[in-house]
Amino acid sequence: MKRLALWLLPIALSAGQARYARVGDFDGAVQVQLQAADDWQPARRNLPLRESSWVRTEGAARVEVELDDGSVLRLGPDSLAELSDYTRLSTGQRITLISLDHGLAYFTGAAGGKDSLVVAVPGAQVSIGQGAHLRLEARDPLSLIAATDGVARFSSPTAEFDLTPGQMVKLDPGHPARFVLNREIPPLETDRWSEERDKVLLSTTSAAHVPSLGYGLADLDAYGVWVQSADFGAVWKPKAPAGWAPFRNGEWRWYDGLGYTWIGDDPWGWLPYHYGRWMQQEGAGWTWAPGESTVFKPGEVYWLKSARLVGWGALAPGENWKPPDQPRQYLNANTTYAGYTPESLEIDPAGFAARPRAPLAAAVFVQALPSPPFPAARLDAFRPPLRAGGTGAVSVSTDTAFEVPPASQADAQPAPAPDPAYTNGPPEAPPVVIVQAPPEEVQVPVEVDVPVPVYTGIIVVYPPGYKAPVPVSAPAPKTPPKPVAPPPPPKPKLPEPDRPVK
Amino acid sequence: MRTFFTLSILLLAAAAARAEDPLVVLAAARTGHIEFFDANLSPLGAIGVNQLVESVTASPDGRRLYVAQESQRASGACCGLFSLELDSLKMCLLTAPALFGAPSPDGRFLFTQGDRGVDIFNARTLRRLPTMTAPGTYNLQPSPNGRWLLGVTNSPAPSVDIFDLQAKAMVRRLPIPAGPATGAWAGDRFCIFSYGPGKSQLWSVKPEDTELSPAKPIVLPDLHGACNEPVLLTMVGAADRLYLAEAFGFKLDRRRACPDTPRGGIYAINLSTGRVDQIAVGVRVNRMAVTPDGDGLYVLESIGRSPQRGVSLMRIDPAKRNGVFNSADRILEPGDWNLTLAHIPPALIPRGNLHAASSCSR
Repeated sequence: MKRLALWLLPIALSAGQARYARVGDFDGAVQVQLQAADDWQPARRNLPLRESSWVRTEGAARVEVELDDGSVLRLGPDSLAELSDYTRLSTGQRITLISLDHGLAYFTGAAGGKDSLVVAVPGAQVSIGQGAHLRLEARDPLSLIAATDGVARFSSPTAEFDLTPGQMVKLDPGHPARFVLNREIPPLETDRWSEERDKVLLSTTSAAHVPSLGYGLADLDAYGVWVQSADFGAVWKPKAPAGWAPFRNGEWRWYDGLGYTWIGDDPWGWLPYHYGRWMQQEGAGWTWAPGESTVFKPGEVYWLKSARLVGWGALAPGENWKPPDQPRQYLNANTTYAGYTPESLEIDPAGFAARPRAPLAAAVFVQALPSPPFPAARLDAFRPPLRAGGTGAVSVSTDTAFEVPPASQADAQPAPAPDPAYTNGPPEAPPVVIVQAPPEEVQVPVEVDVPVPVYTGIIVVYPPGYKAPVPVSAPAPKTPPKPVAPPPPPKPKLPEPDRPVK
Repeated sequence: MRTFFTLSILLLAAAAARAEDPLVVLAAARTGHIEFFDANLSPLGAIGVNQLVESVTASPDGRRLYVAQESQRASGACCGLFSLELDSLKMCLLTAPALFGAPSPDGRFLFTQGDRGVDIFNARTLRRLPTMTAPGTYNLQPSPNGRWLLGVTNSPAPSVDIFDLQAKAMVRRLPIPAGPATGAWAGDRFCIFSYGPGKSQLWSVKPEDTELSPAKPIVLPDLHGACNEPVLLTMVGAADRLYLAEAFGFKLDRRRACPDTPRGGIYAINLSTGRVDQIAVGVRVNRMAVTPDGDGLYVLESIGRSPQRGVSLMRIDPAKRNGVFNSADRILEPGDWNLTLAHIPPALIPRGNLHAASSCSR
């Protein structure tokens, strides 16, 4: 047989960049679970949260989560929320869906451009457009959504309307046809905390220097100053003691899809460790140049590695470093060291005492550290479903649809009642309150210019008496067309001579 | 005969061992990449391939994918059928033109539609075997034990054609008295479904049957309603259940002419009790895939709940008759996607974005 050489050119994947949110201010027992197979871990400031992360508070704890679009989620006591959708499409469009399973949450944000920003509680959700401040409660059995500022679009299985400032909706997820619209919002103790945090975040002056990034800015005001640099414009200088270096206070944690990622202990340690670069200037010490990239980075450092030791230090702005070259800012004093175990998910420099005197004799520069093994068990991990966002199951036939021979006793049992936590049941009555009729919203189908191929098994069922549209120029058929299968796939042709594919 | 069954048992045992590998959901974009998700729909990685991806299926051992995509041997258009080895990312053109590859569950064969019937390949060597000549254009459904291949065709008339994989030939044609019809394996029985206003019918077929047994009537609501447009129906089967749904997002899409009429949702038909339930109400199904036990139903939703949201990939828990969106819901790029399930050895699951960029000579 003639040998066939088939060449496939690499094709750039069109998937968008991953998005990460920041654990910001928190107080009390707050825990996070980044993915289903992970254990719950104590929250720490500057921990990156990715899509599907769960955050919960216990007792009187509370926590603030900053999103990359400038939105902020705050959880009050005894609450659980999920970053359900947190995606950036290749078009740049950001999709955000936050689900509150139980407890209390505040949400402040605005959807920019074509972004989609939705917050869900059991039985309902709100879409945020121009901007809104919301308070959401997921209690047993009621869900409450209050708009303290701005306008949000409320929708439930039975109604959809704009929720305006000062309004609060109260509904029972088990009876979605009934809900109550309150014209005032009873205050809660935690309201003041959320309002004050909003003021702090909105009053930042650092936004003027980092206009393309919307989170972690207020801490730059509080913990450093902006100075002018000859080469990089405004750069930020932290208030730090002599001898301090970036990427020293904190630890590396493995993130699938991101690699070892720096979790800074410095209270401001979000933007300066995931965007831009650090530079050391004589007389000025370490300063951070924000740069223009909006891509979240795990931490831009050079790596030194030996069998049981790793070291790292900041790469300079604009530096395109490749090992084995020596990085521009490499100095032993600028390098932080830690013990290294190949399969470790964390690298913590705290307390490491075996700092090498001649590191280049003991270790070599590497571009990145090897990945730890993939924990296959995580593929089988499941989480209990959240209450928020479940859809109802409506039985269309409560009786047997066809006769089957009697089988076991178990088969004769009536089907178990659906789980009330996830089942809305059939609508009981028209909504008790309709503020305004939902607008006519016509969903625009994605048009894919392909017929339904036969091999899929998808069949076309014509309505009785259906007359297919006939082109104007074509003669009308004498009889209605019979139901027929979709068109067959292209008729196979004789293959052309072997040749490479582009 | 004994040799065949012995070999089949050994191969099925091997397939069962492979089933212990984690379940992976594969979503293939027509624009040229295959994305891998775990059972929770958390992203695992992706492989870039050529454009015009028409379909993707996986070998039972999870070590190889069969990708139908653009090929110059198919006159530069869609499609050629390629094998994609997950350990080396090498792709080999198997045949063109072809729109899909249907592997047999025992891992012995690969089937596709040819111009004279069903083209068949040895799935281990990827050598082409003699074509099983047959008169139809089929939805091909290998039996779970690898012994039979059933093909449902609606042209020129509805029938199910039965292929004996020991003889490697079509052995029977069973006309279906109503159509159009579609079929799916539900456990070890093959079910044929035909929708009719007020009276849908379901037949259960054994490969040894010489004629169809009487149909069981199924009560479904009037899917057409007030909309005088064709309805697309898709069906998957598993264990003792069938899942039936109106399909959206294809060239025929009733939402264009009748935006308010289509109900969406999925009808779950319990073959043991005859009970029919509508689940995932409001979900506009584009494609479905289900695990063999029927407990994991994965759905591509056309557009999703908002026009801005593109295509949504979701896992629905049929046991609770509930669509669980928040813990298993993934927004994909807008466009046309294909969906399949596989059990893939963890070491072969791509991490990060890889490319099938190697050459292949056969």
